[in-house]
Amino acid sequence: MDGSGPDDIVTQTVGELLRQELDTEKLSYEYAELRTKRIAPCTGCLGCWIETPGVCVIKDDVQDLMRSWMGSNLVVLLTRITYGGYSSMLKRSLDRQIGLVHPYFISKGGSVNHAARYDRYPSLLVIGVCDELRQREDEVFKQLVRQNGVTLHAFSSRSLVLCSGERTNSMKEKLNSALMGMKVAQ
Amino acid sequence: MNQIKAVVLIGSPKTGASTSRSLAEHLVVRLRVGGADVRTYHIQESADDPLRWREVLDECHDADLLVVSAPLFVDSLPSEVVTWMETVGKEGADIAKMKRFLAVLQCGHPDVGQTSVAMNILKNFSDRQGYEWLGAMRMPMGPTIDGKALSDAKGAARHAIKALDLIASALAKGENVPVEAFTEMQTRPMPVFLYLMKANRALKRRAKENGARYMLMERPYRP
Repeated sequence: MDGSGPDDIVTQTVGELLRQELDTEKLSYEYAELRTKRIAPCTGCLGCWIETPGVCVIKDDVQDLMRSWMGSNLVVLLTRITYGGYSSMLKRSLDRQIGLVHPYFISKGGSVNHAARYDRYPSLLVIGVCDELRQREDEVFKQLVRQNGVTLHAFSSRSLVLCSGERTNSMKEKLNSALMGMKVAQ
Repeated sequence: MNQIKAVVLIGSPKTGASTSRSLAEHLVVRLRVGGADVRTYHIQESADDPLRWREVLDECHDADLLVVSAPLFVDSLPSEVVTWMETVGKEGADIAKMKRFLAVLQCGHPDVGQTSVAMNILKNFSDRQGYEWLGAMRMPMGPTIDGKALSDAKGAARHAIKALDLIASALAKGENVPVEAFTEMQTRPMPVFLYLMKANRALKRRAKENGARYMLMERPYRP
């Protein structure tokens, strides 16, 4: 899920490199450019929990994205790092995916989380792009990815931060290493 | 002392009642009682209207105090709040006028630690914009308020009321924020086991009202 905005050429370029690596490794994938999709913001109605459980009540492209999410071994999210968080484009889509988990809270190992709706979930790799490395924002970004991994019951989760000033080859190596290093459920 | 000009932004995507709105409205009343000139905007509603959106950005620019009241969505801020930060950020650091920035966050989790990422994102935004970061008032078990006015939410809102009253009084006078306001806000209104039981029961009841009581475990996208 490519959450780059229409003017964000740098993140779009990383998206292109990502596709090249996926092709090189002959991995089967779907590539969703969120900026070309119809995705309304979540209204917080909880309809995906208490009206049509598991399915968002707003009918747009999110249903296809959720189906693809659950049909994958690995979900890769691509975003501009926005103060340590995700871009609004990616966040808009992610807010709508909350129906993938169950509304009930369960307490396990001293922490509380939403119960899993499904038996297995894909692994999660989140690639963050920035113009310059800002340690505090990078740390928050990594913490967010870890937390999303828990909330969305990812089989495993990992974050990768790429800086726009990096050489293309260096970016490709890091992308390849992150992709091939992911633990995925079979 | 000059009158404080404050802008309070409601970041919940719910256009009607919401806990973020309830917390914001209580704060607004208390700030006004303290003599502050306060404007309130709902981010999502304002973003849909370009003229209104421009007004929001201009008012934010002119404010002495900026408050964002938002819920937690998938471990972070709702997309509308991110859109607001992106838009303000594109206009560059705002150092023409010293501005104080306060976050009011609430989450469905019983542990406010869950809001740390959202808090840090807002702090990073505040720092980059050149604002004075006052901190985040973080409320656990937000659904216990359930969009009611805090005065109608009985015991569930007692800590939030005390905390917001404390901080509003200080903010309206331009004073330092009292640490106890943050501590009070984080206090759970009920024990965790009771909250989890009530929260799960409430979901079952609402699902039943929608005829979905026996569909809660559905797996529509199971491959």
